[in-house]
Amino acid sequence: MNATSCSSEAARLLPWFVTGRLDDADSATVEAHLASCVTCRDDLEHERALHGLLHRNERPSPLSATQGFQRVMARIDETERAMREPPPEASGRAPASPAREPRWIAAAVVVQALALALVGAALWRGADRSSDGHAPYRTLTSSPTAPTSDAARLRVVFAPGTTARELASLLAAIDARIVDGPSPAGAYALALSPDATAEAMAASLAVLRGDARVLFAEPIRAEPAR
Amino acid sequence: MDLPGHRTTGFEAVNEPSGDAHELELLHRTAARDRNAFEALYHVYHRRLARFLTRMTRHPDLAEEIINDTMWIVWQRAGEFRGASRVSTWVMGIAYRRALKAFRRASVKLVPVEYDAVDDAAQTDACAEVEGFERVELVAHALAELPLEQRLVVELTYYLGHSCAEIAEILECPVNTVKTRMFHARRKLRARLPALSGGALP
Repeated sequence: MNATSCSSEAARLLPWFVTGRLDDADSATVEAHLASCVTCRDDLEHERALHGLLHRNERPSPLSATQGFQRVMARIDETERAMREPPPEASGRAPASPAREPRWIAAAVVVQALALALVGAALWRGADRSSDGHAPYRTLTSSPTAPTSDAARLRVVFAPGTTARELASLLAAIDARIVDGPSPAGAYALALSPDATAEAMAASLAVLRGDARVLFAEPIRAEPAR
Repeated sequence: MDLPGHRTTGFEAVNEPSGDAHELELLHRTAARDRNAFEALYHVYHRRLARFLTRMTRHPDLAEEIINDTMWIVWQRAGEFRGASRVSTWVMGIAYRRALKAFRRASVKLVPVEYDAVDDAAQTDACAEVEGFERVELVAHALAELPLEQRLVVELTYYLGHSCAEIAEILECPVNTVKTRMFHARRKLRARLPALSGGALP
């Protein structure tokens, strides 16, 4: 059986012609081509059949949406509990929550020990970071343009197994230093440069959240936990 | 994992352009920490993600983990969505990246657990004789034999209804690469399913 053999640009666009996802110009190109190409007319029929089968029918998924939703909400609740915990003061530890996994704490402690050794090495760079085209991150308490207060802090949870070198390079990338933590949940408080704007904060957050070694990053709000 | 019976596989448009406004509203409300809106959004996406990720990973348990990751990130970052793309493009992009990370983390050989039902003897029969669900199984089987990157492009195009540019965004590759992958995939599917367009569709 002769497979797709027309190699015109129109032939390459056929699948999206079938699904109606071409812009007008491309659509017109394909239509004009179809008028003169038997191979593509034949292919079009095949693609329509394929689309029909793939789009209309599917196997029942063994995955349960209801259970999946409950699981993700449990995770969200857990994350938000971790966020609300005040970072422990230097003078004392917040009491450990019994719900935490011991290996999680152990990992966090290792990260902390390595981090403390290297924090001094993280350079304090004053360069303002652009928000790479994204609108600034808005919190309930900050306006996008106002400079953040001296409490420009982030709460961050690193992945277990994050090395000291990785941690230092992450901190350097966002001009931040560790000022507190880890909390019993393994969260660290990071301080950004004192003159960091809300935009710089948004950029830092984007860097952290885009990094596989960061499980969680949120601004620490000045207001008390709800 | 529960098995909610064999639900009928009736037609339901999964990715209508008109659905985007609704999804956008759900996402905005999610950003405002509206859990009901998030639940609705979750249900809109669970089905798409389950299929896309099961096809991608060939492993329902892993797919479930990645759905959880993806929707957790959607909750965390809903406030950052600026509408530069459709909501579905954004969510599927997150899912794809989480899936790649899961692959790297697992670094295990993932054994195909799906599409084993159709044996080779059945495939060599003329496709035209195969009707309804069997025909769907046949297509699924042929699709499963494609290399991952080609399979994903076919799924994103025909099942999820994404445009070429959107797929390029989701997979973080050039638009031309998307077209080329689709072109190769079609050649292989055509050779595998020669009589697909013959005979009336159910």
